[in-house]
Amino acid sequence: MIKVEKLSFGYPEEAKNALQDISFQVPEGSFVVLCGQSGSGKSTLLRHLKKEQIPAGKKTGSVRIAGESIVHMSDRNSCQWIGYVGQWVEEQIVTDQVWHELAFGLENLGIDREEMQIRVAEMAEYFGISNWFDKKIDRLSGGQKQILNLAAITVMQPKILLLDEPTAQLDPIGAERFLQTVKKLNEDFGITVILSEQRLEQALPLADQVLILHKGRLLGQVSPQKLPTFLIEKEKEYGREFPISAGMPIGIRLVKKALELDTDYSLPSAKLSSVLAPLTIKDGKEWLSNWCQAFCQHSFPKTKKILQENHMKAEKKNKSFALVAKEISFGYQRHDTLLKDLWVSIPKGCIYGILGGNGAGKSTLLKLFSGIYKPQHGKIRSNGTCVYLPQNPKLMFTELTVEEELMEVFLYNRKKQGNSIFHQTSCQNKDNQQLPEQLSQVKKILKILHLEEQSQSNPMDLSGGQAQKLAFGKLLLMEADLICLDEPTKGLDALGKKELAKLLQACQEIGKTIIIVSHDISFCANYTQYCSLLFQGRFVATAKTKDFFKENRFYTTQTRKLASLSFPDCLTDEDLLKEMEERMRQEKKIL
Amino acid sequence: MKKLKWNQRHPITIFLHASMMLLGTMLTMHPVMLFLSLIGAFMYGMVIEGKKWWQQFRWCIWIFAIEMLFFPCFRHNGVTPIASIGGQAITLESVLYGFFMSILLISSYAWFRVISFWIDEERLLYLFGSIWSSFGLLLSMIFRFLPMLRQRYREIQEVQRGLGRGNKNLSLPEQIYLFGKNSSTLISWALEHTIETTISMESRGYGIGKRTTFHRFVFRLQDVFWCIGMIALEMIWGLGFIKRYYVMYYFPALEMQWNSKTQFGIIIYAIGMFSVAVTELCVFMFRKKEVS
Repeated sequence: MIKVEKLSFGYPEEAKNALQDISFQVPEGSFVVLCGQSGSGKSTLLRHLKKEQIPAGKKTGSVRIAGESIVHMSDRNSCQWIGYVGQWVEEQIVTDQVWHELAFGLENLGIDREEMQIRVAEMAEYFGISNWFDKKIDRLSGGQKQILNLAAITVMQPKILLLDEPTAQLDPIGAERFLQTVKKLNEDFGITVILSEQRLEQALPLADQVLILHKGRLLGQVSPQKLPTFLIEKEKEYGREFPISAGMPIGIRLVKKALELDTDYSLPSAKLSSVLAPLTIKDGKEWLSNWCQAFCQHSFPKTKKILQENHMKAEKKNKSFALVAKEISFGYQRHDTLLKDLWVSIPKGCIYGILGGNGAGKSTLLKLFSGIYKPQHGKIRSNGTCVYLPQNPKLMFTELTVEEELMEVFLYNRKKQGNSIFHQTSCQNKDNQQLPEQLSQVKKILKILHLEEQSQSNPMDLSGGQAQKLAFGKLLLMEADLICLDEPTKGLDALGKKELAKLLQACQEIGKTIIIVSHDISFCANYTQYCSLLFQGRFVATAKTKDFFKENRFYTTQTRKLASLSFPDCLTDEDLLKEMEERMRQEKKIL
Repeated sequence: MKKLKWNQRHPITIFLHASMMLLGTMLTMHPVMLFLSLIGAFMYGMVIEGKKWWQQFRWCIWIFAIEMLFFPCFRHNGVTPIASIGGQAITLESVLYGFFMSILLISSYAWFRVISFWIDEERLLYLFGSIWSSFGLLLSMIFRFLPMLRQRYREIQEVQRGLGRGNKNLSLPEQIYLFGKNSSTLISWALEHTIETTISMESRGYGIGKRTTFHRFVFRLQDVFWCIGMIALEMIWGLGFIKRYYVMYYFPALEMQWNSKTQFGIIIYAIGMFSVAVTELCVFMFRKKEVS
């Protein structure tokens, strides 16, 4: 169906090609997941498969769809056959009403009204949109909007769907629903799907094949079950670990680790490699118990009893708190209270995670903490200044270059000392040299954040991760003591998350307190010290992170779900892999 | 708002009726007709909004005050003086003229308000879209964009407040400076948004050929009857209007047309004004009985 031959592409004014010598074929009706860390050329590759979206630059090689070169395809066929959904949910919506959005593509094709009516009705039924068919689009949730985007494409009856990180901006439930819908489209109508995705845990079980991109090159095309062996081979070839390996779902990482550890065990290894890598938790559990039977016959898993002490109480007396909230209540409407009598005390110098479902009031709570809203009842006392980093950090940027963006902070710092903000600007314009101290401070921050190369570019042009770093830098310069982060891991890949975590830990070391609101359970499990679950306007559970996730059966990390029987002490991927290695070593000693 | 029958009519029928009501109100100064129009609009308004409707008309007292007390001080036509200010007479004709002018203004406002309930965005879109398709789309995009812009600006403001830059601690020039900065963020966001939207439009085939417009309205047999009826009424009334049967002179002396032709015109006018409200009221009462 899709045939790409020796495709290379470079953006203008960039020395290095964004895509290098890419060839692959996608058979009709298959579901392909495209993975790679951000900046590896996933979006660029997807854009080359749709005529209207091909970016400007040097391009060699060819892309053929159903035997026809994509460049020579007629406009009508191109927009009818190839559907594209990107990650920006809002931006893809054109009109103000659901029914009109569904009809938009058909209107453009000039299809007559009777047929349009049938097609729109059909799609609304198929996607389960009929309940909100009459609504205005700004009343929909993010997940619904993205489903609508998909439906508005599908109504044109495409043969190929190109999805560029469609779930990056969605919450886990919305993402799951979206991916299931895509899978259903693929199975019911044989639509070929190419999906680029960061949430591999959810996407890989759906895929027939996986394409892996690394720095603009295609590593290969494999079925997801064979990923572990494939990655090991390629890593041997390249001589180092790919960052994408760390972003793989736990099942694949487990098998990969087992195979790597198993160099001198000939017999069980052969047994294992014939087993396909587990993609779901259920298969993973089975695989892990098999592994334990094969390797841990001598050292049975020690079942440590989880101590259910409440450390919080003991520590409360010794520790000082960065923020104490007592009995706060808040609601947007008069009779509808979102937060009810919420108590929380956040210890100084920790990373504190707040978890909870959609619309539980997590973001609202952060806004209350940072003083954007005032609680209707109760008191919040914070020890030092508390600032808020929004989900979309670009909302914070007002200047033209990254450097100016950071310098801008000093205007307001000056304000705190009692001067007008203009006092600063006037001398800044005359002579930049007057502020060597501040400039060097900015340079230092840029260096810490690895943003030196971007120091003269527009903050709006930064990628998601970079924008977040810059926003973080601003907050650091403001000398805030408490930093509230709203969904900081949204749209970041595994490497981005790791960098963010490093940054957070560095901040923690210099004594800042950090509050994270997140849907990302594994991130919270890895990097926070305390976690709270917000439900029905209150914190229903607050504990040290380890205890928090161990006590929960359902609301916990994938690893914990998978290894709750065989490795009861492991919460995160890294824990589990380490534990496996340890056990292997013991086994070898005994033998 | 209650679910009404008339709201579900075809936009063309609604538009015809609405324009008829507005023209009928605004073209004539005949006191009987004005009162009929006012009663018609209020009847409908009550059916739609109930008690809330009256709250909208508190400011109308000011219209009466200005038209009946303020303007007559400067308008000295008329032959029946009732008082004098500074040697200038305030005439009865002038006060009466002001009274009926206020009625005209208020009933026009009331009709506009009623019409705003009839013609929602979808119907407006249809009415414009059927004349000029791209303009219809443009309207639809504006309807989406404006609320989004407002929401975005609120978010930007919130973020600035979250950085401790609330309006409270800033002086006025500083507030203006901050406003400028926030607007620039908003504009760059809006531009970027538009680019993405254009890509989305293009990849869904915008501009590849002649567009058709989709709508969800059906022109039913009832619509045909309504339209024919309304056009007939309008033509009969319009004929009388052209022949100047419904003229009311306020100056220099009051002079009201009141012959059989005028009376006939008034009956026609009343039918036009009340037809919809009465049918609606019947349906409303009938439904209530059904429920109980």
